[in-house]
Amino acid sequence: MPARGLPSSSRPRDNFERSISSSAMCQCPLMTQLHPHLKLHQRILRCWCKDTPAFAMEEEAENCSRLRTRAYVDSLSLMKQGAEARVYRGQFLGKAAIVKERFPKTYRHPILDEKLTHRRTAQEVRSILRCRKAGISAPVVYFVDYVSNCIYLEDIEQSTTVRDYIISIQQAGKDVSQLYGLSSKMGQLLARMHDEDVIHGDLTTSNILLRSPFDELNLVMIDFGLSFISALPEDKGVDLYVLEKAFLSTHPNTEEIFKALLKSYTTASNKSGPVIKKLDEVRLRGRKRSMVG
Amino acid sequence: MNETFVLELFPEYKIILLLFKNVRNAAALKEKAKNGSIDGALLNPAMVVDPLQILVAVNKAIHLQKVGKMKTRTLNAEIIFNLSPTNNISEAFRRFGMSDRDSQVLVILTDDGSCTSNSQEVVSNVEGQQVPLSELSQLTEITKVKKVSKTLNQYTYILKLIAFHLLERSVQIHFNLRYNTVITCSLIRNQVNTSKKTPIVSTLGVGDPDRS
Repeated sequence: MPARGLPSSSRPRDNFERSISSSAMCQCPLMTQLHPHLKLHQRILRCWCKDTPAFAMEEEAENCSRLRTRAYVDSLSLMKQGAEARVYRGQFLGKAAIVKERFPKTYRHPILDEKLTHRRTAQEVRSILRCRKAGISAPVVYFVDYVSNCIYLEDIEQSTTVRDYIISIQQAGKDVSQLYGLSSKMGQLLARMHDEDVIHGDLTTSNILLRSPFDELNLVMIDFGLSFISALPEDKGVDLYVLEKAFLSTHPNTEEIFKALLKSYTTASNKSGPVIKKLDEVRLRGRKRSMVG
Repeated sequence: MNETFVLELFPEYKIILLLFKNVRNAAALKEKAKNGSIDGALLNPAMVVDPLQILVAVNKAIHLQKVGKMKTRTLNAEIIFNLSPTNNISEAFRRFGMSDRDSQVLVILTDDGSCTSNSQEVVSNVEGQQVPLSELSQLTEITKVKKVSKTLNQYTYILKLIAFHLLERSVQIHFNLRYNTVITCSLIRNQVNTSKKTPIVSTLGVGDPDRS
């Protein structure tokens, strides 16, 4: 039934709008005054139209799906818990897998929370795929569940973080010069990633894995939770700055090694000039550009 | 002969994969699948590199069915659609579905108890020779896979496939050598070993008796 009192050109066009105009119109008085072309957030509508059968069914299906995921995820072993997400380890489709679950944050407004969580999940997957397309090794994405905001990723088995690797070499009192190979590899990796305009956002030595055998220096980027796409030298510079801070504070006396990393970044990247220039600027002012507030 | 898989997220479903060679009644089978007397997805095994590819597609299809967000009308259609790197349904069917002249077919049955056809029925319907799933790798036609990948960005397709672990290692090796993925794949298939000493085939788990 088209909404009464509206011009025929503005009749509901898709199923969603139709279901609202047909069944919900009578139930929520506000709707009768709204133009159907107004794009309203589905969630808000849902609050108003809770009793409509279409929404009730959708809601129920989503709840079922959430419960199902919950049951599966609870059977896995919790690996890490952060402020944003929990990371589990287990089997998925017969492979060793990591499940990253962005849980709902009760301190945020539910509508905002859902929107933010959904967007961050999508962004993370997008960046991973972009990296993989460019040939930068990152975990395989097996499955993404936008209902409970879970990402199912490949578990890089028998790997270690670059952080642990460097620390173990330093502690063993071995010749630190062997770290130069690693740092130049890291430089190349970052150069390739930045040439694809992927900004990782959280570059630390714990967010880069080293596949076994470690001597082959097969690096894998992980945790794209804060990543985004940008071609600005500013963003790339900040990305490197974040890594520099993290690198030098976790690994003391590695200034030379980090310099080697930057050097290999410069040679490997096509657009390194402005980035390095920005990096020097960022070093002077810190990573936040605007000093307002 | 019948390989059965269970999905962790949907334990009530049984995924049965049946592989046939020398099929003579492809057109009739397709008709039966269309009118529903075979309740399964009929695939062209030439486009399938590994069963994992199927499982990923089935898992996504079931999930979308459960939350009511399928892009196609039936679960079986959704599975075929999910295999495709593009968002075009008819293209997905053309490339990944079985065509009338095919002599080989891979049947996927997703059974949650309500599936109307069981594996024996399917086997009796197909005029052809059933072969174990392990022969899948011999039926994969890398030139076809390559063709699909060419219509897109050089890497896109295979990297979607790379839900694949399997290709993983060697893709990495070859990316370093600035090969493109497609070449990599054909290397795997032809089991050509490159200068690297790594026995590619076994690290991938493809065609490796210990892992398959």
